[in-house]
Amino acid sequence: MSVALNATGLGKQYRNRWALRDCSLRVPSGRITGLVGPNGAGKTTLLRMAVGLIKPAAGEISVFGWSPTGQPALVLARVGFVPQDRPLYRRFTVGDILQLGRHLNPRWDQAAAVARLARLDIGLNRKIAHLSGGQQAQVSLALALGKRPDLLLLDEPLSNLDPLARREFMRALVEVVAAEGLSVILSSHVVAELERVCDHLVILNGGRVQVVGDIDELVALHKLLIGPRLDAAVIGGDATVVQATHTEHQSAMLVKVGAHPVGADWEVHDVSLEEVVLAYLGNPAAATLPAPVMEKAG
Amino acid sequence: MLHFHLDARSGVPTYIQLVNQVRRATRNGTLHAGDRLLTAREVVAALAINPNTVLKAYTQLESEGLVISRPGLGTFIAQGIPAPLAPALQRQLRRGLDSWIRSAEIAGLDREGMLALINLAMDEKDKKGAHVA
Amino acid sequence: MIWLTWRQHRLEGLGTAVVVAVVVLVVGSLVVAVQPLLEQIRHACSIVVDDSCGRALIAFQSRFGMFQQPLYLAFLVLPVLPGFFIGAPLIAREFEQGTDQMVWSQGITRRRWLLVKLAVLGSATAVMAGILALAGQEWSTSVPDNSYSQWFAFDVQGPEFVAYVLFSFALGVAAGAAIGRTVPAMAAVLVGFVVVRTAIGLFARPNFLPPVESELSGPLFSGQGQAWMMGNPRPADLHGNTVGTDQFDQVTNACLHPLGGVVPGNFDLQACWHEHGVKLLQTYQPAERFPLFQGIETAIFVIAAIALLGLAAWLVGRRA
Repeated sequence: MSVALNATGLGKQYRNRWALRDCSLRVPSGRITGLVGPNGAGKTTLLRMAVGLIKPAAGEISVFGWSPTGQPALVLARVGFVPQDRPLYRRFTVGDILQLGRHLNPRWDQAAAVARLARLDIGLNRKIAHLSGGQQAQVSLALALGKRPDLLLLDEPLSNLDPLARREFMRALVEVVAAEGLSVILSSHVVAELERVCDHLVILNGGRVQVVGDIDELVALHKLLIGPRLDAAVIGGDATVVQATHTEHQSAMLVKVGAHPVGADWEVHDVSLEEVVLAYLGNPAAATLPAPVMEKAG
Repeated sequence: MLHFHLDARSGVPTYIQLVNQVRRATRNGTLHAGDRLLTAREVVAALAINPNTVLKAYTQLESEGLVISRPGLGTFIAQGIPAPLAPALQRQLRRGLDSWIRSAEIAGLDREGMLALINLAMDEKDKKGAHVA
Repeated sequence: MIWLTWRQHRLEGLGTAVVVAVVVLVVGSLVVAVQPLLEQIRHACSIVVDDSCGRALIAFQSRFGMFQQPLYLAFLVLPVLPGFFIGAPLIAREFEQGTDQMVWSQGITRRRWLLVKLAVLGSATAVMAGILALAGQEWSTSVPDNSYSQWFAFDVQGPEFVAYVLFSFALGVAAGAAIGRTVPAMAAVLVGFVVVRTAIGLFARPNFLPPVESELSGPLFSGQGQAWMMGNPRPADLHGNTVGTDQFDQVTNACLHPLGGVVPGNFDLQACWHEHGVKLLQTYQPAERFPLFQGIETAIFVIAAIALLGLAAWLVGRRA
């Protein structure tokens, strides 16, 4: 597996709160990875560290093997970033924004950026402030993609966009992934947005990584077991309980299945990705991480 | 040309929905041997889904022998896809089906109820099939 | 990056150029307008034989007196503007609108971003300030000689004026970096600039070097040429001990009384004082110290500006 982003023991503190604490994960290249977690979980901090805007207080992070703060020129040439709220200079025209990208990046594909915006009917001499939210989002995306990055990071890219604009943004994103094969990490606290477009998932909770894995595998590996009310969880087999809810007569356990089947008196139901995510978010002590791999990254 | 659609709420994984739609299209004659499927990029653009999902579906179809991918040319419905049912087989299946329909009517199901039950059974079977794949 | 600096600040650049052009135009027109009367004054006042000198001076005052004060105030205020309009928003606006995240994730380090911005905007500001300083100098020498002291023009001309402007700019940049919001940074520039300029101008400048106290030479206390008079003259005896004002006034009356009201131009009042055992001492900064004082004040503000820019760079780096 080729690794786009590798983090070990990352920590960052703001005043008296740890935004990230002992955060370790590996994000594979060639995938669209969703970064999900509640507000304040550390998603923005992690993404900003990956692009070198923030220095870790503890631990290390590398992107394609380079350090974002130690080798900024190398990293910034290969990594594109769409920050939260997709900021742009509002008095600039669309063409000015592309010029900005062209002047500030060593590698820049002006023709492709212009073509992309032309396909979306966004004129180059329109002022940013006069564009709709969805159009501004497309300009931010075009700016980040103009340097032809190998990794694209997006921090809550769909916030404050109407449903049509969200769909169009995602469409533009997956089109370029299909064409160029770049790696993508996008954060959101809305699971449904990610499910359509991501094939890999990271759950960040309270500054720590709780889950990393392939989405189809995660959904397949988790089941909802329903059975008569039990005070102790006696499931049988080697399943791990993620979340247990009890009513007066009934217990429901969201579990990660092991190699052996569960006891016969449990009803086994499939779960959606959203249910899996909610179960983990509600139980910070639970975790599903890939087994340690004896291989070199990269 | 087959155009895909996605039911985001069905709980069925996306790539399985794509596989099923191709299968059904070959069964009911929408697609014939030699017809070209939309390229992965075209499907991605139309549905705004992950490219790997489309590739997964096409790979599954190819492993089932339903399609053949020719690099540079596209993905095509394979020759020798199952022909429409032989009359004898169709009669046999109909007998079982008619008997089941009578049981369902006695149990109180109307047409919609029976179709719903059939869809439920098919969906569950498909989801189980995802784990095996 | 130079393109970006120009594109982002071209409105402010144009505004600054317009302001400078207006000031240059106003000063230029004034300088041109006063020349005939100035000639007249120089001619009439070189040898005072009648009241034509006095009348010419009064005419000058009534025609052009109303411009001097407002123009002086304008020159005092102008250096605040670059800090206010260019320096304060420079970093603060980027933080406020989150565009720092956008621009520092292009292929440019924040160090280079800041360096180019400061270099381009700082030099442009310095050039504009230089033009204004020259205009100030032209204006300040276009007044009648005996109402002109180079020291009065200290604040409106010379390298120190450019230093004020650079200080204001640097103060704005540092305040913006520290506070992170444009409007409070502007307020900080206003307050900070006024406080520092007043403190240096009123309290530090008179003491850059210890003032001299001595008798003024020349029969009618026309002063040490272009010296900076500080405080009132001190009557003293010949050893330098203070004597009472009444006593000194008596001596002066005694010296002038025999002349009967008309004092010839070559009357040596000072010799008369000495005969009576008194003299008049004045505290002042000698004229020849003027360039040195300009240099000291320039150095103070330039060093402060550099320190502030260094602070801003450190704050920007610490944001990571």
